Amino acid sequence: MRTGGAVRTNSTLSPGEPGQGRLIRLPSRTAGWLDSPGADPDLPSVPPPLRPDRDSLAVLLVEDELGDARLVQLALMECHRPAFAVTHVSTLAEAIAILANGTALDVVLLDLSLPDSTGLGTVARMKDAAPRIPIVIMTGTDDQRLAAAALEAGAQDYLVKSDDPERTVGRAIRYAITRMASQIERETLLRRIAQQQRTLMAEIDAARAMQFDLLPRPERIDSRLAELGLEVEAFFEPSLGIGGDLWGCLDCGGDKMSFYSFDFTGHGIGAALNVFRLHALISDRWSPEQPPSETLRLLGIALRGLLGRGHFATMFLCTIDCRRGEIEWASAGAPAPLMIADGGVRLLDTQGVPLGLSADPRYRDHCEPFPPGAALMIYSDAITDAPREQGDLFGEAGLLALAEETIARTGRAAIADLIDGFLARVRMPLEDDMTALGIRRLTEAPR
Amino acid sequence: MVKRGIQYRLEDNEDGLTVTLEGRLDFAAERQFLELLSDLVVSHRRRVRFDLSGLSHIDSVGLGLLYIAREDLGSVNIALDLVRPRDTVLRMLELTETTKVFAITR
Repeated sequence: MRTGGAVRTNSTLSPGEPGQGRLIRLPSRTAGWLDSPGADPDLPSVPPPLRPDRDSLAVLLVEDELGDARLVQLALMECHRPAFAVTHVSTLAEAIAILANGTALDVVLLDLSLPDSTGLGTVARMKDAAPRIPIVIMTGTDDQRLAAAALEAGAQDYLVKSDDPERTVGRAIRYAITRMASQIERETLLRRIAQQQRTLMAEIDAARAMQFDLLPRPERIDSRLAELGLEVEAFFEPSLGIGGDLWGCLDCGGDKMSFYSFDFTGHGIGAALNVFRLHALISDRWSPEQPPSETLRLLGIALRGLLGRGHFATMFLCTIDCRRGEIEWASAGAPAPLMIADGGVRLLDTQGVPLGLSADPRYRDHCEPFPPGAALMIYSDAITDAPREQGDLFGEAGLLALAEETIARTGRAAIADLIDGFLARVRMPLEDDMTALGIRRLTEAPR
Repeated sequence: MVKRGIQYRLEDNEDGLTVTLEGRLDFAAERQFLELLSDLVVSHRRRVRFDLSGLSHIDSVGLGLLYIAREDLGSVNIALDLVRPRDTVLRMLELTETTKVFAITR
């Protein structure tokens, strides 16, 4: 919800009334994002546009033909709004020396055949000396190709000397100044956008790193997995840098370990923030002895009211008991994991209302054997919802068929093989966050 | 290339309005669906029926949209029914127990 600028207070609660506790939300005092040029010293500021409508404009006339120079000067003297203050030099070297002095100039009128420089190179050298001062080329003939090439080389306009300078020179100068101003403005804006883009990408990279930090790390869990004789393969790939998926494991102590995977509606930053929320809620609401259904119920109640309309999370939560050789699970509408046991593959029952959709969610616990050699593949709907090249969706049927093929070919269903097979069968790139998690009980009994 | 978004057809019945949805109700259809919904909210009917027989797929965003539709129509006392979902769509509705919340006719 967007809040307005005014503090809304309940009229029955006047500010001075004693004994009434309440929350007063003060309105924002800023305009929002810090995106004004002064806010971030690293951002290039937009210069005030050069204005051709000042009272007086300083012109540097670079022309070795004294007659031509005189004609231009006379024409400019006739102009009053603006008036032109003309400095005349005959060589490019002199012109560059004047610029090097730091003399304030509004425009350069530049002849292309000077004693010390001729042709388009003259424009380039002038541009090097003063990249931000507009240049008007003066050519002897009405050569459109030369004029176009001069504009390409960085000039802002051109004049044909044989044209009536009185009529054309003032207009060309004003046009060149305006054109230069918009060029500078455009370049500055592009630099600003590029800079903001870099800042945003850096922020997303940082958020992505934080999201990956939520994932279990081998160095923290390997010793327990070794004790329990569990091999876990995990694949995690947000589609937009950061995403709405996560998986994790929770150590129940003894011979048990819990695993979960969840997926929020949508993807991108909003979904990623919800991932952090639910991760924190799991740490708070989970306890080792609590059945999975109860943990899901507590999470569902906690998320209800926190999420926006139409938003929810699906979640699968299981506990593997390696001593009893069982898996117990509950699900809030998560994609049905593959149970790979006894040489066969089937889907687990994962029916359940997603977290956040119901005020009074109820979940069922399921339990079945999970003997040594059995494996479970938990995944996000990026897999089943991915379109195949033919346009139809990969679906549960596609995944089951792929797992059966992979087992027939390799004797097992390794997640790495399943992902390779999946990516070869669907249209890339994927448009959703993708998680795939394989949990296999090794055939050797736990120590 | 698969066509994005949804198409829909409106049809007046004795007791309400039937909206036949076609295509995929997913994140790409969100804006279009919400526009349709704002029209339905002011339709002054007693009942709106979404005919899902032309819907090939619904994802989690699409499911959220159905819940939003139920809430918005409910707030102006319009009942919402879902009819004739295909197997793939019904699978999603069953998986998420949406079948317990909506009146669904096969």
